[in-house]
Amino acid sequence: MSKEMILDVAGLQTTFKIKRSGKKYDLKAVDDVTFDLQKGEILGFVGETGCGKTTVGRSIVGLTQANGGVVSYEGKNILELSESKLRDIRQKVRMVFQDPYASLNPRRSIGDSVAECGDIHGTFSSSDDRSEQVAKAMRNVGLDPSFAERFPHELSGGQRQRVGIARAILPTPEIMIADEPVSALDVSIQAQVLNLLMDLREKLQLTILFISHDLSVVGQISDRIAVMYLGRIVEFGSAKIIFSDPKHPYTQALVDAVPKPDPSIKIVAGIAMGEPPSRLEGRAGCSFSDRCPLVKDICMTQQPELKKLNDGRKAACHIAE
Amino acid sequence: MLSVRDLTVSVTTREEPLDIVRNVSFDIAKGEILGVVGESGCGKSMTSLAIMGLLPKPMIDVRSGQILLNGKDVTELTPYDRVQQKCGGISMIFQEPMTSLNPVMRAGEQIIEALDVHDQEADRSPEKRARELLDLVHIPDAALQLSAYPHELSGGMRQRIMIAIALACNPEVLVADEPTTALDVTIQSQILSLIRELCDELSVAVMFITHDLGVVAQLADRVAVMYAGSVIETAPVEPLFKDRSHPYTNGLFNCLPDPTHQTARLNPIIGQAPLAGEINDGCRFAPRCDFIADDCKKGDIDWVKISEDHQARCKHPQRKGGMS
Repeated sequence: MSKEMILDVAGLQTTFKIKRSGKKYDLKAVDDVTFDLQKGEILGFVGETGCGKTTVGRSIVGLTQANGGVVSYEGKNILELSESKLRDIRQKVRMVFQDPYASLNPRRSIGDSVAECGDIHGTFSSSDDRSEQVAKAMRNVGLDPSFAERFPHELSGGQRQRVGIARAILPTPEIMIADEPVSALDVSIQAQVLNLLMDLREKLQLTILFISHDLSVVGQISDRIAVMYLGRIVEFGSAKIIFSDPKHPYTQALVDAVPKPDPSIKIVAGIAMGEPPSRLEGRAGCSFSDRCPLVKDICMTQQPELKKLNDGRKAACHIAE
Repeated sequence: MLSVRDLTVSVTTREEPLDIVRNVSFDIAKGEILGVVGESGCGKSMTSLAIMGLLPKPMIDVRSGQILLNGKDVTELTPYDRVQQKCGGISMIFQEPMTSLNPVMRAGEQIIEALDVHDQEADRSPEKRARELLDLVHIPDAALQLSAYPHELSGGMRQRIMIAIALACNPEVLVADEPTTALDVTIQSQILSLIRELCDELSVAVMFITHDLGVVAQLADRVAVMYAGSVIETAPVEPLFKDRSHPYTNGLFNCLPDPTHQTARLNPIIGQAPLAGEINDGCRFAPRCDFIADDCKKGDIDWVKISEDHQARCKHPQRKGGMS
C-alpha cells in the first residue's frame, strides 16, 4: 500500500453548547483529535456511545461545525472553506449513514436517490448517461439495476444499505466516511456489506474512514484503527497489533468485554469498572482514570499525551510502554 | 420448569393464516440459561411474547401447542395470572429499557409498583424489599438512584432497574429479549455477568434471546438456533459450538467478523431470509443452502440426532466442528 497521505486532521475540536438545569456547559464531543488518512486504506474508528467517533466523521465533511483544528485535503483546510467550495469537496468526500431506513427519502425512487449527488454537480451529460451511470453504480454494489424504479419501502435492510453505498460512489469519490454502515443489519447481511466495502476499496481505489462501535467488525475490515474514549483518541495504530496486544487499558477493557464465540471462555465482568463519567464537568487528568484498574497518582492530575510507542503505535496513557 | 410443546403462532390475514412460529419445542430447567439465537424476523421475539401471553391478539395468536409452567398449562392464562406466584411466576426483561420504563415515574416508584402488584408477603415493607432487590442487581447509592427518573439514569442502570422490577414477583422463569443489545460492550459484560449470577443464586430458568453468538457462547447452558419460525438446531452450548451441524448454524459462524483477521473476506450466507408469506415447501433454508439436495425441497424436515442431546432439522447435517 502506498503511504501517500490523502487527508490530514490536526487538533480537531468540536464543542456542543448544552444547557442543563439553567446552567450552560461546553461539551467537548471531539477534543484535540489528530490523525492522517493514507490513500487506499481503511481506517477504523471504534469506541462506545458518546465517544465522539461519529462527530469526527461529521466534522470532517462539515455536517457538524468544528470549532478548532485543521483538516487538510488537497492542500486546503476544509474547515475554512466557504459553503460553495465545500460542495466541490463533498463530491470527493462522501458519507454512508447508519440507518438505511432513515437516510433514504421514502418518496424518491432508488434511481433518483443514487443519482442525487451527480444531479447536483452536473455529472451527467444526458439522461441516457445518467441512467447508465446509475445502473453501473448499482451493479457495483450488487443491486439489480431494475431496482432503480423502486422505492425504499420495497427493499430489505441490506438492499437499502447497498443503495446508501451506491449513492456514495456516484460520482466516484476519493474518500468514503462510513458511519456505522452495518450496525442495523443482521450478521449474515452484515458480512455481505463488509465484503462489498472491501471490494469497492479495491475496485474504485477508495479510502474509507470506517466508524463503528463493534470491535470485531472494525478489526476485520480495517488496516489501521483509532480507539476513542470521551472525545479523544486513546490508542492508534496498525490493526494487526492493536487488538491482539492492546497497550491502553481502555482498549484492553474493550477487547475483554467483547463476547467471544467460544463457550470455553466464560464471561468476566469487564475490567473497566463502573460507567463513563459525565462529560459536562471539566476534569484534570486522564479521562479513563476513574475506571482504570491500573490507575496511578499521575493519572489523576495530568492528561496523558498521545505518544508514540516502540512498535510504532500511539497510545495516550502514562503507563503504556 | 418451563416447557414449550409444538408452539405455533399465526398471523391472521385475508387469506390463509401465516405461521410465524412453527412447531417450536424446548425445555428450560431450574437454574439453566437457554440461549435462543437467530436473525431478525426468525420468530424468536414472537416465541417469547407467546410465553408471556403478550401477543397482539387477535391479529397474532397461538394456533396450537402448549406452554407448560411446572407442568401446568398456562397457554390460555392472562399475562397477569402468568406472573402470579401461584402458577410459578414468569417475568420478562425487554431490549430497550428507555421505552419500557415509565418516563414520568421515579425508578423507585416503579419497583414498588411491581411489588404492590406481586409481592404477597404482607409482613415486609415494599421499601425494604426494594432495597433488597437493588442489592441483588448491584445498584450503588440506592437512595439516589431510586429517586431518579429514567432519563437521568445511564443505559446500564436502567437495565438493572428493569431487572429489579422483573425480579419483584420472585419469578421462576425469566424471559430476556435482547437485554444487552442497546448497551455498550463494557456495560454489556456487566449485565451478562449479573444475569448469570442471578440465575445461579435464585435458580431461575432463563430464556435469553439474542442475535449475538458471542453472547450465547459466554452465557448460555443450552442453545436453540431459530430460522424462519422454526428451531433448526439445539444442543448444549459446547457441542453446538464444536459440532455445529445445520448449514444455517455454520453459515452464521462464517459471517462472524474476527478482529484478528485483517481485511480478509468473510464468507456470508447468500441471499436473505424468507418473509412469512413466501415460505417454500421443504427445508426453509434450502434456497440459501450450499448443500441442497433433491430431498430437501419437499415435505417436513424431521429432527436428526447428531449426538446425545444434540439435534438438527436437516437431512444432510454437516458437522463442521472446530472452525472458529
